[in-house]
Amino acid sequence: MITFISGGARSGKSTLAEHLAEGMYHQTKKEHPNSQLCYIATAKRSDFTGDERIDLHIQQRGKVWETIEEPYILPSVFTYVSEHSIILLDCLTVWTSNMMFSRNLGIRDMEDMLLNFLKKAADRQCSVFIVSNDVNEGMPSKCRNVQAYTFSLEAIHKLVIAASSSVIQTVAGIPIWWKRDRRLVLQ
Amino acid sequence: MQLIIGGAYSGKRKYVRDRYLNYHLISAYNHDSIDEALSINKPVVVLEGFEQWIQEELSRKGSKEIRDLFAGYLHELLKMEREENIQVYLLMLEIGRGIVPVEERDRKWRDITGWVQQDAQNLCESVYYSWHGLVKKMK
Repeated sequence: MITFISGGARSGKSTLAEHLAEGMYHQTKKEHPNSQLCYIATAKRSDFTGDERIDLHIQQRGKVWETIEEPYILPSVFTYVSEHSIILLDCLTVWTSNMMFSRNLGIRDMEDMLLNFLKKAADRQCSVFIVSNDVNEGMPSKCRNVQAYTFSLEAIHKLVIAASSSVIQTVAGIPIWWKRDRRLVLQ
Repeated sequence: MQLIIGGAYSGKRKYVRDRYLNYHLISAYNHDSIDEALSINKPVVVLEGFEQWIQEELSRKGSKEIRDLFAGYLHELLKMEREENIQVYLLMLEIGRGIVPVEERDRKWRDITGWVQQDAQNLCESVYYSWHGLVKKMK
């Protein structure tokens, strides 16, 4: 089961995603005790001044979460993830930027890798929550790189949305459901 | 008259493409002029790039004058739609959700674009919001 969550900056998307993922984890754990609750962090440690902020986030999420730092090769996380796990990928904006500007990869490569990631998740009966950001509703940029980035990110959003059974836009922490899977319970 | 509003690459044109095999596109991105739309007699006319047309007026006119100019265009389009029995689609780019622009000119551009969108919304019988390829009816 795939859930896509996006919204503006500080609109509560990560908090909602964590909440939904934790709820699903506690439900799944009853039947599948080996299930894990995994957080895939896409930010590179070098993006921050020191590692303090990353470590603070890890601490805030609490012990129930396992954090996997993977800025590029998303399908590789399945080396560490068992079947029936709950995976939260936060976030697509950073991952897309890493792929485009640090690895010089095009849309097709990114789409292939994401599809591979989602297929591996489905094969292992893992539920995936994917967080992204609405960056295409502000002033248009004259910078070609920004335009190319926005175009690629939108292509990726459309691909993930097509694969998702729940699609949520967040406004001030409130979910607006564009697609809703009845198995997903908001507690 | 129908309005589809959404961010860059959010699927506005696709919404029209999915419904009509043939439509006449007047696009500011292809350097078409908005005036061209008023002399076209095709069953479906689609206009896109209002923010570009607005931008072209920024150095020549004041905010109110530009808003009035576009309100005039919108009324003309609505009149044309009714009299000629055609369908008019307005595709408008949401640009109001980022940080307030530093440059005064950009603030003026963003403000007028938003006002023109509100004016268009008032005149349109249906309004849709496109978001990452999905479309929701707002009115």
